[in-house]
Amino acid sequence: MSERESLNSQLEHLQLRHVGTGHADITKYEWLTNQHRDTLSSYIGHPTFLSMISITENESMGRVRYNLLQRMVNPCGPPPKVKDDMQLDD
Amino acid sequence: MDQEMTSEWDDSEIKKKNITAASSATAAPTPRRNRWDETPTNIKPAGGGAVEETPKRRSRWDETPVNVNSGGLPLGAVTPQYNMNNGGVTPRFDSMAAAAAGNMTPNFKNIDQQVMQIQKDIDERNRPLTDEDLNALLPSEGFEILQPPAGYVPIMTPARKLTQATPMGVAGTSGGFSIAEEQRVTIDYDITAAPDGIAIKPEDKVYFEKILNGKEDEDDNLSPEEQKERRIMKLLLRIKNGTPPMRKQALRQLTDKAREFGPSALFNQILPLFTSQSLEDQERHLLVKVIDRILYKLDDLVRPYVRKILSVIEPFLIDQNFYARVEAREIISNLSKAAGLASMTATMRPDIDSPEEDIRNTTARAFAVVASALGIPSLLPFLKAVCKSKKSWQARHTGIKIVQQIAILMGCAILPHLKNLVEIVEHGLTDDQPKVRTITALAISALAEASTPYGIESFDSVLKPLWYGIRQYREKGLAAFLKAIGYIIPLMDASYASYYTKGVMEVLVKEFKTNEDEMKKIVLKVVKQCISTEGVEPDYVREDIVPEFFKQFWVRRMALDKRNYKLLVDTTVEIANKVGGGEIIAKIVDDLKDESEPYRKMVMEAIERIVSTLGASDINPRLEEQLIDGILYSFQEQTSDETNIMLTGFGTVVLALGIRIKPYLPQIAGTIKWRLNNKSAKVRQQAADLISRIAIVMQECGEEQLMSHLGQILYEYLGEEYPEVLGSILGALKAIVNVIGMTKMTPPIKDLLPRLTPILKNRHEKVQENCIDLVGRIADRGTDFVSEREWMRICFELLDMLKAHKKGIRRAAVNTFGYIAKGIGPHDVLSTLLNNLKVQDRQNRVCTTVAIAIVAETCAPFTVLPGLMNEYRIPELNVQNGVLKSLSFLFEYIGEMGKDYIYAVTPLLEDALMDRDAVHRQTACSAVKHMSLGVLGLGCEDSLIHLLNYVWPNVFETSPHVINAFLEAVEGLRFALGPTIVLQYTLQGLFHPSRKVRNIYWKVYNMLYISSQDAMIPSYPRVLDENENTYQRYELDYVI
Repeated sequence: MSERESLNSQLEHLQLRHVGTGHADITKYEWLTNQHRDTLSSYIGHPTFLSMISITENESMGRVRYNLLQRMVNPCGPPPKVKDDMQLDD
Repeated sequence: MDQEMTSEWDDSEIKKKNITAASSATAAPTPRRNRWDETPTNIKPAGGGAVEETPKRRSRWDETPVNVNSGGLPLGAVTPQYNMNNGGVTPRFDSMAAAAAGNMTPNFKNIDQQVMQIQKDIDERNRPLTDEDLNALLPSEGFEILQPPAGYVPIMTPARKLTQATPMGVAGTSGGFSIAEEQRVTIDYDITAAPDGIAIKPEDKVYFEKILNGKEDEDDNLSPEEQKERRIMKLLLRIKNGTPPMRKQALRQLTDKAREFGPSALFNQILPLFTSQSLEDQERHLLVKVIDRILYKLDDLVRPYVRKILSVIEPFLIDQNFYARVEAREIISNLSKAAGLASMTATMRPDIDSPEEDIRNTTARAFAVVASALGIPSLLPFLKAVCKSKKSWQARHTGIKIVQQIAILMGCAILPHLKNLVEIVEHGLTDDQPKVRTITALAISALAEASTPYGIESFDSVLKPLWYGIRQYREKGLAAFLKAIGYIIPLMDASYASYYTKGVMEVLVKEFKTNEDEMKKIVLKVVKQCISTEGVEPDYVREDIVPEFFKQFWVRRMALDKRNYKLLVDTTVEIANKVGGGEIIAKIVDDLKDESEPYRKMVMEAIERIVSTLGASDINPRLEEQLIDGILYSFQEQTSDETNIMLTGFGTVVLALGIRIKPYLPQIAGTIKWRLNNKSAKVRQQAADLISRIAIVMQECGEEQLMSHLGQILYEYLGEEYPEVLGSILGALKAIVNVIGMTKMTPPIKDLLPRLTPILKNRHEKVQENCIDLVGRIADRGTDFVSEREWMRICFELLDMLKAHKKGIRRAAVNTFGYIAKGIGPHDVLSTLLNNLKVQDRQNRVCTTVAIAIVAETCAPFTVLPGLMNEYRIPELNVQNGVLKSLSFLFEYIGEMGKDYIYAVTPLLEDALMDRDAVHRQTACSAVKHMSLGVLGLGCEDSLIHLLNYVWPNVFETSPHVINAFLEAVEGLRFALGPTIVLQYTLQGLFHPSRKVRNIYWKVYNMLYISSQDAMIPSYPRVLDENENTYQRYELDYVI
């Protein structure tokens, strides 16, 4: 029993140390926000990708880079409002 | 210094533990004896209490004395149980504990233990006459037992106990020691009185008096305060002496309620326990744990008690026991975190200029701990003020000592504050008080030691005073100044270092003559540090240091003290590094023939270390002759060699001389032969060990004939009965076989190996290891020399070896299986191994599976797989699991080669992954893992996806091993198939209505995410926008 817990908790602990990992209670918004941030950082991290985007958008690479960085703050827009009745439950 | 002290004290601690273990083990069943002069704190004065406790006192004279034995012996018969000189010096062992401790020698260091022991012994001898004794002494008629008067209360004066004990005890100890006997067990613990059946030592009764003897029944009449007190007491007793579950629960309760109980009630009880004489390591550790936890809970509530806690804990900072010191540090560090810097400094401030040296010392150490807990910067202003104190030199002394302790405690963590710390102490170098000057120099050397090799610029300001200091002061002060310079010089760059070294050396050389031990140590250390710096020229060392150094230090007396010995050897090696090995060896080589053995050893060790670092190229022929002569002499003259110095020295020198040793080999071999025949087992063992060390060189010198001769002799000694010696002989044979090869070996392999087969049965580890190595070597290189029959016989012996405790032996056995299989073909070996899968013993089966996999690796998998897979058809769990495990190891070992066998084993794995038995699935999963890792990128995706479909349903397994194996299999498959495919499998459960599903699916997802975050970017599913949220990643749709 204890072994099972420790195995699990160790793994979970390891996973929790990374930003962007998920858990059973994650919302769609949170998950997708993480995905978007990862995607944006991936664009920035691969210069070829960045140059493709800049050609398509007809912007300089620096500008595209800047835009992408700016979008990291709230990549999917504001968090959805918690419904009123949910709040009452809490 | 710490280490050496620790090891000594550790010893005694272990013994202490053994003793208590022994006594507690035997204590439980034995009934309690009378202790008339024990502090009778637990006897109720109300009358009857004492009588109730010892029922035998009430027995009538005419009753049969049923409990003669339990009540003690008749008066005249002291001897059978206690021999005459059992002054209590020897700790008691039962046979088990004695075996565990490894020796029966009494430990004279353990004073407390001794005193308690003596006390107990005296208690035993002076116990009151029991009814049985009286029965034996007095005529059976004419006497009558009277009831004690109603108002009678036994005398209870603990003082009496103290006054009587000591003189007798001292007289008793004069006998030296006695061998421990099994029966000599007195009672340590009394369980009758304690609640919850917890054993409690008589010494501890004082503390727990209130809850002993059933007094807890009166709970109702007590005030709330008293009730609280008793509750804490009970919890503490459980923590201190209870079973682990009891302890855990009590600890939790005490922690949870800490604020409710309040600090005063808690510390009033815990702190006295700490000062108890009989506190054991384990108990102290538990109490420390208690304090740690309640400190955390109480937080700032603890402030009023800081003083009280510190006064109890501080003395532990200079305890001789290493663990006591560590735990005291822990408590003080937690205390300072809870109480804050202000209250800590306020509390300890008065102690800083205390006239008591000990108090100042502990305070300094406590402050260092505070600094490490709260950060050096927070303490700096305070330190600055203290070190400049005008009021008393004691305060300055303590302040500087705090800096020293901080450096010792925190090591390189002082670097950021180095400049500040040096500035704080520097003025102390010119203080009026010699003591302050000395401690300042010591503090600076501690700072320099902690900051090596950085931070020389911080020490600029102290160089000058130190420099003048070494010319100005004498003895203690000089030693400290030298030490400081010695530690600063290695930080300097070359030119400065050489300048300062020359200056210091004049003083150092003068001090070579010193008789003071501490000075000697410091001088040696400083010489070593100075010489090892770059800027010091060899010529200078050769002319100005070496002659005097060898004259003063290479004397017999230096070999007697362990630390001097070590320092001297270190320094000499350092000198040799500078001026060249040959020159230094020439200076000491004659001493190899000195008459003092410890001195010869020291010489040998120095030579060994010099030769092993510098080689023997600058040893001239004349010196070479002297060296060999000296080594042979000292090797033969040694009476004991526990540390193997002579042996290693001999080996190293011979190896280093290489071909130049040839002329001496006959002489060396003669010595070896003669010693192989010696009566003492140690000598024989050493001779054999020497052969294995110099075999390579003998080969180099072309002395094959000599080696054959030695091989023959060793062969004749295979009947050796001492396992240690036999192991060494086998090792020597192995070394010879290794260098001259199978064909030229005498005795021929075909004679040698059959002689080894029975030795494989030997259960001694050293014999087993050397024997299996030798057999493995022969199996590797010379299988043809021996019949297949013999090899099969060896295979059966090897199966037993798979059970060996030592991993090296098991591994050697498994490898040997591989060699044998390669030599005689895998068939017979494999059938032996497959049969072995049916045995009960798990470890045996596991090793067998490894051996099968090794055979498959050495003889190519296709020779093994058919038979192995056929074995899977046997409807027996162990066998099938064994097969799967072999497959798992097999794919692990063959790696890429696995690509040719995937299709062959897939149906079997399919079946195993669908089996009802979880272990089948688990093992198959790990096989899949190894397989997929091996075939990564080799185009086996089709069958891997197929297997993934069978692996995946195990996602909901709950058993930890199975789920682990599953996760690892998925991880392996992720490598081979790419994360996208695995992600597709994962997506289906991420937002499943059931939490159990989501849990494990997210775990798999996280695994993917952590290892291939970037690779998953293109594979995330397309999600449509919602209200104000954009979920589309439109850049991915760009087309140019």
